This record gives sequence, C-alpha cells and structure tokens, in this order.
Amino acid sequence: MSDAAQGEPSQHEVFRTPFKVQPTLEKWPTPDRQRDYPGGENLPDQLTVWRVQNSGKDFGSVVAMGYGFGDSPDAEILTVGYAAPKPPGSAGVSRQGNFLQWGFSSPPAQMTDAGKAFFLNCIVYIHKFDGKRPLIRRESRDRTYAVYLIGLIDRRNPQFAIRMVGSDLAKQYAGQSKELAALYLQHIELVYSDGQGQFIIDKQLQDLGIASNRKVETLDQLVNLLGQKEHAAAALEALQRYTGLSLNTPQQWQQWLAANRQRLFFSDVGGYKFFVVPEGYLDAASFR
Amino acid sequence: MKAMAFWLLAASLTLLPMPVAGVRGQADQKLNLSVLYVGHPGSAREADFLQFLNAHFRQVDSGDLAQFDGSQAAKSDVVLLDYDGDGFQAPHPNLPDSYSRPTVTIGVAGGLIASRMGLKTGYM
Repeated sequence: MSDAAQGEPSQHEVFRTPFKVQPTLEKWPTPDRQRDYPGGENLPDQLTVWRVQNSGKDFGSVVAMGYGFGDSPDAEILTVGYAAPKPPGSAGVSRQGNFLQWGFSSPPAQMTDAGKAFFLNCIVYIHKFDGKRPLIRRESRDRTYAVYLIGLIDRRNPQFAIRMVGSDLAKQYAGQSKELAALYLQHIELVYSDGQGQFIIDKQLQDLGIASNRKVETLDQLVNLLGQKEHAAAALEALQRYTGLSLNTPQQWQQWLAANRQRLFFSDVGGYKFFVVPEGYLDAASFR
Repeated sequence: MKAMAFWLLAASLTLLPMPVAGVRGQADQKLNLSVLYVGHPGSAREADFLQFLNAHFRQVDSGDLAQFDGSQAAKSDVVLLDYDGDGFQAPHPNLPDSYSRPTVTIGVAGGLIASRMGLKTGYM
C-alpha cells in the first residue's frame, strides 16, 4: 500500500471522535491492474485519496483482502488503502473483534496531521471492543474472489485447477477457464468450499430447489424438507454441512433455529457456514 | 465590574483543555486511556511512538514484542503491537484464543500477526 487512504472519510465515528479527521483530498490515477479484479470494471479514471503519512515511498504499508470482509458482524473496513497492485476495496485500516489493523507503516513523525488524528481515534475506538473476540477465523476465500481465481486457471499449472475445482471440472474445462468461471458465477449463490481449497457448486441444494446456501430462509427450507421422506437425507446432510452441527430430528433443528434465528449469520471466509452471534456481543455500546 | 469580567475570563481560559500536539487546530485534554506499546525496545521507532503516545494518553507503558504473550496486557486499556525494520523479520507473538484485550496491530508486522491469527485484518 502507498501512503494514502482511498475515498473521503466516512461518517463513521472513527473519523469524528475524539478528533475530527480533516484531510487534504487529492486525485490519484486509478491503477490499471485494479480493473482486472471483481468490482474494478467501472472504476473512474481517478480515485479520491488522502495522505495518512509521508514515507516517501509508494509501497511498504499493507492491506487486507476486502472481499468477504463484511460477511461476519465482527468485522469492518474503516478505510480502503490506495494499493496499486491489490484488488479494489482492499482494507488499509480495518477491525475484526478486538483487533484493529493499522496498515500504514510509518511512525508518528511521518504521519500527516489527519493521519495522526485518525490513528488516535483508532486507539480510542478499539477500546470499545474490550472482550469482543473475533467470531470467526479465516478458513477460506470468499466466493467472489474464488470465482475470479477460477477464471485465471488457464494461466496456472494443472494442479492449481484440480485444487480449485476438482479433477472432473478441471478436465472438462481445460483451456476454458473463462467459461468455467462463468459457470460458477451463474451459480454463485450455491458455491461453497470443501475446506481443502476446492470450490463446489452445491448440486444437492439445487436438486432440492433451494436457490442460495447463505440465507437464513435456506435453513427453514431444509428443516421443512426433513419431513419429506424422499428429501430428508439430503436435507439433513446440507443442514449439517452449513451449520457444523450434528442435530438429527426436525424438532431439534426447529428448536435451534427458534433460539438463534435473530443472531445467525453466514460466512464464506469462516468456512461456508452459519454461525451464531453470542448473546450481548452486538450491544449498541460496542457498535456504531 | 470590568475587573470581575476580566478575572472570570482569565479563569475560564485556564480551564480550557490544552491543544493536542500534532493534531493542529483541535483542542483536548490527554485521553483517559492507558496504552501499552509493544515493539522493539531501544529502537528509534519505539521512541517516536512513545513520545507521541505520551503526549496524548494518560498512561503509556512499553513492552518487547519478542516477549509478548498477552499476559502483559492485563493492566492496559489498549495494546499496540508494532516493530521496526523489516516487518517480515519481526517476532511472532503467540496469543491465546482467549486473548480479548483491545489491540491495534501496526504495519507489516501487525498485518502478519493478524494473518497468523486467521483474522480478516491480516496481510493478504
């Protein structure tokens, strides 16, 4: 990452309190490389940025992957970083649970006034998250980035293709990675990872008439299917796959859903599963 | 009457918070937090951070990233994990999963710490 944050400061409290972050905005050219990534197609010619530090270098700071960042309620991107070779939306400063990553590398003597104010605000802000450990750990790539990588399979060695999509699809689509990526994109709501790095289109859910693997309604549909003899086994398998639980009877699943419905979220990054937010974790006092 | 107004004005001015160094045009008192900066003891970078933090926070302590295991954070409100030089060569603290102290990870070293912990904030 360069010395700059990308985009104007938002209305988030981390730009307002205790210090107002008042940067000097500049326009920098949009890195061509970013147009190749998902979300990069419609970038303008120039991007609004502001200097957080003056290191004298256009590298040396670090960003985090932006894709999938928002799929758990414990995480947020506080500012995107201007990082030429990285995907658009990569996080320059971000938080997950009680951890806040300040991606800029310079010490305070090299920070701009706006950078100093933002840094101090970050320290004050993270204090709100005392005891709020991260809800998930990174287990997988999110599906958007996975499909992007599938589109690049032709440029990589054959083992990469097998690892990403399995030997059958790798063989069937050899030399046609764009078509393969289009297939995955068409079924993006049914993509999941097997936990070993392979991405699968969930034919089982598709056969059950379910359109998405990441909506809470999907769990309702699957629990209802438990009562249908011809679909019960597949529904139970899918429920266990997407929750990591080993409940069996429809009553057990109904009780679990009723108890946790309001606190469920689905995370690709966390392993293509539903998770339950612990009681009290999302107290208003801890979140903006 | 004028004298009273003068003394009232003077008294009120003495109660105004001091300007915060480095954050021009914004006034505040020291922030009421205790901060533990954990980095490379004796380095110029550590000195820079400690000077800055001392100017803005009620209590500032320092520690060694190579020795940090989370237990040193017990008495601090916020922990900063940092290192000088090549962040890829920085020590790798092993924090238990139970670690829940508010923590700012900084720069390359911080991004790598976050990566090793499987955090979304980790270096991509």
